[in-house]
Amino acid sequence: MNPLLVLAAEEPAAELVTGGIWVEWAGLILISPFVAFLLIIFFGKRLKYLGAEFAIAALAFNTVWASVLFVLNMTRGVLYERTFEIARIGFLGGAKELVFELGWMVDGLSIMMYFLVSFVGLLVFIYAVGYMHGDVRVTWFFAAFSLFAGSMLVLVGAPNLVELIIGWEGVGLASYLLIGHYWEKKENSSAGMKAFYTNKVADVGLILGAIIVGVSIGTFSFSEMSRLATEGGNGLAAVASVAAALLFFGAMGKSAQFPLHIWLPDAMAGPTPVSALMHAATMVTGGVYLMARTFPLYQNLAEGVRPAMVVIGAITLFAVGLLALVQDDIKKVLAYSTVSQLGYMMTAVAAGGYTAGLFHLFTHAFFKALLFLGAGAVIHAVHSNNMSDMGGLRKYMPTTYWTFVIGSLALAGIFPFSGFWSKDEILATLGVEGYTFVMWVGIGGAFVTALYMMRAMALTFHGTYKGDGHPHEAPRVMTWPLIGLAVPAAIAGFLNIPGVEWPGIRNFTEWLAVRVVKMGDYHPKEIDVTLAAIGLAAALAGLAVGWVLFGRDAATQRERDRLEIPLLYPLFRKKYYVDDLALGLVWLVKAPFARAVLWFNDYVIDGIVNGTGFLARGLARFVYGGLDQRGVDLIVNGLAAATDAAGSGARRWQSGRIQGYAASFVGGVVVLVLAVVIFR
Amino acid sequence: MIINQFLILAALLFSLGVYGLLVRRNAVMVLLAVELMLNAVNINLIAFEAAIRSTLAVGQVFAIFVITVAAAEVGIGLAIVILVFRNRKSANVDELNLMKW
Amino acid sequence: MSYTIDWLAVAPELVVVVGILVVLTLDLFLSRREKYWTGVVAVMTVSIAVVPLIIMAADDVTRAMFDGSYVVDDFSLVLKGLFLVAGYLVLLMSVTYIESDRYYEGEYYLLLLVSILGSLVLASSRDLILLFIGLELTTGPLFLLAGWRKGDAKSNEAALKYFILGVLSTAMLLYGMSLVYGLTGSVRFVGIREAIPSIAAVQEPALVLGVLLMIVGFGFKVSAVPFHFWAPDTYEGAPTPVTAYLSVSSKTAGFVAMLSVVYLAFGDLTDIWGPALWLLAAASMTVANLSALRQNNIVRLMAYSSVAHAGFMLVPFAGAAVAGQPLSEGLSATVTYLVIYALMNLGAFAVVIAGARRTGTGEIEGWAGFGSYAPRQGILLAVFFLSLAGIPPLAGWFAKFVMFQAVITAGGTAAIWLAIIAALNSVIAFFYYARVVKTVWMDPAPAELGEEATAPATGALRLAMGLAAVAVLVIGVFPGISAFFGEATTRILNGG
Repeated sequence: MNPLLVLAAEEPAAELVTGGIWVEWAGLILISPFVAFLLIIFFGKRLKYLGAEFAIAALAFNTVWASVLFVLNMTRGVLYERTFEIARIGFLGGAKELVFELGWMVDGLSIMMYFLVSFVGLLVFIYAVGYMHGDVRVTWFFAAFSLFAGSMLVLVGAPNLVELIIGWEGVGLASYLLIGHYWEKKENSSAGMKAFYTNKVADVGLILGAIIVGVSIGTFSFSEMSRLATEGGNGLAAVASVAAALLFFGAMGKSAQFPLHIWLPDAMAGPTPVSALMHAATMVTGGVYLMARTFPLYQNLAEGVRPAMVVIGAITLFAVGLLALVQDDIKKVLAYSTVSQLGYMMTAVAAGGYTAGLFHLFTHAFFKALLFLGAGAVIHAVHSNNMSDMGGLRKYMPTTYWTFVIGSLALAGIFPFSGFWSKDEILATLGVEGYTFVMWVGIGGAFVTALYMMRAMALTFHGTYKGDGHPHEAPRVMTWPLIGLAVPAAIAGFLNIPGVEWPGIRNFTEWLAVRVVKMGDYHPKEIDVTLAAIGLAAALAGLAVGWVLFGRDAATQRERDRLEIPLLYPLFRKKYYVDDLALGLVWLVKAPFARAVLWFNDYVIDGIVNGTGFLARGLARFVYGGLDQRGVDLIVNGLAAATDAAGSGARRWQSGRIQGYAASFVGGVVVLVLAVVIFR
Repeated sequence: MIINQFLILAALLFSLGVYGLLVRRNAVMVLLAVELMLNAVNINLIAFEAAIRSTLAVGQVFAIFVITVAAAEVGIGLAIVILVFRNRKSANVDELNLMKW
Repeated sequence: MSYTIDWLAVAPELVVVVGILVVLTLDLFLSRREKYWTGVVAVMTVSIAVVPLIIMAADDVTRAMFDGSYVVDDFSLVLKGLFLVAGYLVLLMSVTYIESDRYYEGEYYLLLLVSILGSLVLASSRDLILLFIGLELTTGPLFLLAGWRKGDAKSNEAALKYFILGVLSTAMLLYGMSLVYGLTGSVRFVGIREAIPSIAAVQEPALVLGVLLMIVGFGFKVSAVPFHFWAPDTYEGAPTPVTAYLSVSSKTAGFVAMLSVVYLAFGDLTDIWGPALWLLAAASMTVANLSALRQNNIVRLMAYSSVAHAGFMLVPFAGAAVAGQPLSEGLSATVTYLVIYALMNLGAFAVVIAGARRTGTGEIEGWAGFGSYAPRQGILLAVFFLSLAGIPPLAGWFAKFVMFQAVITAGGTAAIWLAIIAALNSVIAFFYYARVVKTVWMDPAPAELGEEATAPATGALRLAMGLAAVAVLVIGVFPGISAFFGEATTRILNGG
């Protein structure tokens, strides 16, 4: 290990919080969105905002709680875990046992995620009240969104792999439902399908990896895993590489690493708040989170896998970033950007930069959500996603413009915004761990990032307006969240300046420390000014080139945008043909499935709310078809006429309706059982 | 080991499936209800197997067969539903009563 | 544990498998006009499959494989023979039918062969898993075959109704099987029987439920009331050869399953399934016969008739069970009835197909005077229908006879009541069969035939009718032949 490494959290500090209401009842954070979900389903339609009230209330509650935890962690440190055993299974003839538990984990990493999901989620929900106004399925939207929030919290609060997978699947489901929100248009439901499939393919790896780990050490608990991984000399070492590779495969799907990234751009078919929260700030970070949670495994036992992970992350970061240059749809630009940034995070964590990757996750959530919400405001104003219908919007939408600028600068990594600090730490980690080539790729990526963001900004807000509508600023319910996100996007970086210790507040690395476990993790004691300068220079260069190409005046803008770098641009437009490959594979299977699930989509709310109506009708049908008509049948006799009449009656039992038949079937079973029991 | 909770779960799921089959109007939903019932049976089989622990893991083998056959039946069922749907433009089972009495 | 395979024992199944593969391959390469070759291959397969059957029958050896899960004894041989014969006749009936309308021929024969394979497996199965597989393999293709007339709304409806009710009953059957397995720890019938005495009293309700649910599942397949609702609609909507197959082979398959399970596994539980079968038998006969009285469509009438016959078939077995008597005579009576029923029912359907082609309609009034312009088919129709009604010297009378004999010798109040109900129902049934025969022979023919009237029956159909008629007449006069088969089944079940 590198002699510069600082071992995190070797000894628990004396003031560590391990009890008290805030941690012991932290499970409420996980539960409240589900409660909101149920309330919305049952009562949402009657409320003024059609159920959004419950969703926002739940997340507000969560934000408050998570903020308390956040502050506790900032100042004193928190470490708590609570589980309930739900099953214990013996196998191999009882020689080994596997324990299944559910519960919640409260430590630095999970607190950071609780806070992120709750705070960003709250702002996005508030924004969504304005954005989704007048939509045909508002109530269902907030229900599904709450479901998502709850599942995400379960994912990040999971103390073991089983619960994490439960949350993982939950967010996958919610993602599918929400991407396909406007399912009247076929592309949208296809996009949902694509997301679902790609994730499912990756989930195979996740589940297999989890099983392998569980079977080898008898538990799925992260704390146990970390402990065993660092102690060494146990069964985990033998299976570690395989399990690690499989878990990473699962993470690739959720966090859109190349080549499993194809679903994310298409997921932009969903409403913008969905893109902002799920496909930028939280859900897609699930894979990175998983890597962080199982970090000791990768760090100590599965080192062979890490170079591959770094490479995949690097490819994702750069190659996919390039694709953002040729998009006309502003959300797609941001989508490809997200994939690229996820590549940064993944490659950092894979290289051993636990803090670096997570810090970038933290800052990215703020500025990416901000950018998406801003894009949403623009789309809302212009009624089109395409930047070719925009231009010059700076004059009409100042708040949106300035927050967008802040977000873009943060994303590009310009001092002193948050992205600068997090990206710089990633580059520094890569350099120190010996991945110099990847570090240069990262610097190149910074250039590309700045370039496409400047392009996006310029085409959208500068020049002259080319459309024919009347764009106007978004309503306050949408602009206040923008401002709310812009603040952390700007200043969050200051939480983790190398070498700087704010009084009373612990170091960011210490925040995130996972238990009392030795992990290799590089946290720079002081900033490497040269590297920072190079990174900054690359970003500024990108901005400059972007300005030159796209920013100066309307005519040149359009012309430059049509710049065709031969070979490269068509390749970009075709997204390296990865999509077409996957599409071919999936095409045959998806249609009936989509149709089936979409019927579910529409029936659930009405079905549940009208549940009693169905029951009553079903009973009535059975009574009428079975009992009433059968009553006619009971005219038994020997005369031909009477028999004939009885014959007509008997005929009537054959109502022609399947469910009448089935009801009689089931009724017959019941009668039979009763009769036998009575007559024995 | 005590397996009552699994048996109760299976019974509940089976009942839910029966309810779904009786009440749902859309043919695909009815198929879903049937799948629910078949999976309830699987839970039963696996639970019993865990309690019995036969040498050949008979319950598990049975469950695998059930899964396979259920998959085949769903294939058949969906083919039929699609056929009906193509001809009538609706998958509503209530509407199928050309033949009665 | 290594399992040896007795190749002769599985020879019939293997032949059918080869047949399936050949049909599948041929179907790829044949042009539309040549597709009938797949039918020819199918018929040949079934014929060849009979050969190993006869060889095995000749040497009187019981073969068991897989720890007694797969057994070929006299019971299996008789029933496999029945399945193959029935399959053969249905194939003959199908040839013309399928060729004339633009159906998918190759797939039709393929599915039919698969179903036949399933029924062969079923006849040999002596444990729950194999039973389930055999049953599903038999009925799975039938769901599709019922909807074979893709453009016809009635056919679609028939398939869907059959399917939904079918999977419901499969689910119930499986649930019952899972309970039985759970309580006895074994899926083999013998193992279940041995484990039953040691079931704790507190678990008994679960056993009752398990047994009854399995009975329910089988009840669906044999179309017993109240699980019969699919039958009239499916029979009416499906292509007629498929209906014929359903009414004979599918029903027989259900009976095979029920009888082998009830006899071998639940032999000591007569107090559970006895009353259940009693109720099913009584309900089936009564409801079906009464409903049949008012039918105007001949296929629908045949459907109710087959439901009623299912009730009749249950009577001897149920009677023996509720009376607490040994089951062998009941079993023998039921199997005899099955054999006879299969032949006469197939014959009846063959005639119905021929008649429908000739008169162009399925409505009974449309068949008025059929005997005057198609005398030979008219006679055959009379033969089969009167046999179904139970008139000597046609085979049906013997079936009713063994039925009554078995239930009366069983004795006991419940059994006698069942016999009374059966007798009443036989009388009622006579009316609707007679009505058809009367319409065919004694009503004046309509001036014009229906629009869809076509040429007289083709060779295959005539062959089917002829064979069935011969069988019916022969058995009617020499009933010992069928009785022989019936007894043969019980001999081996008894002895082991």
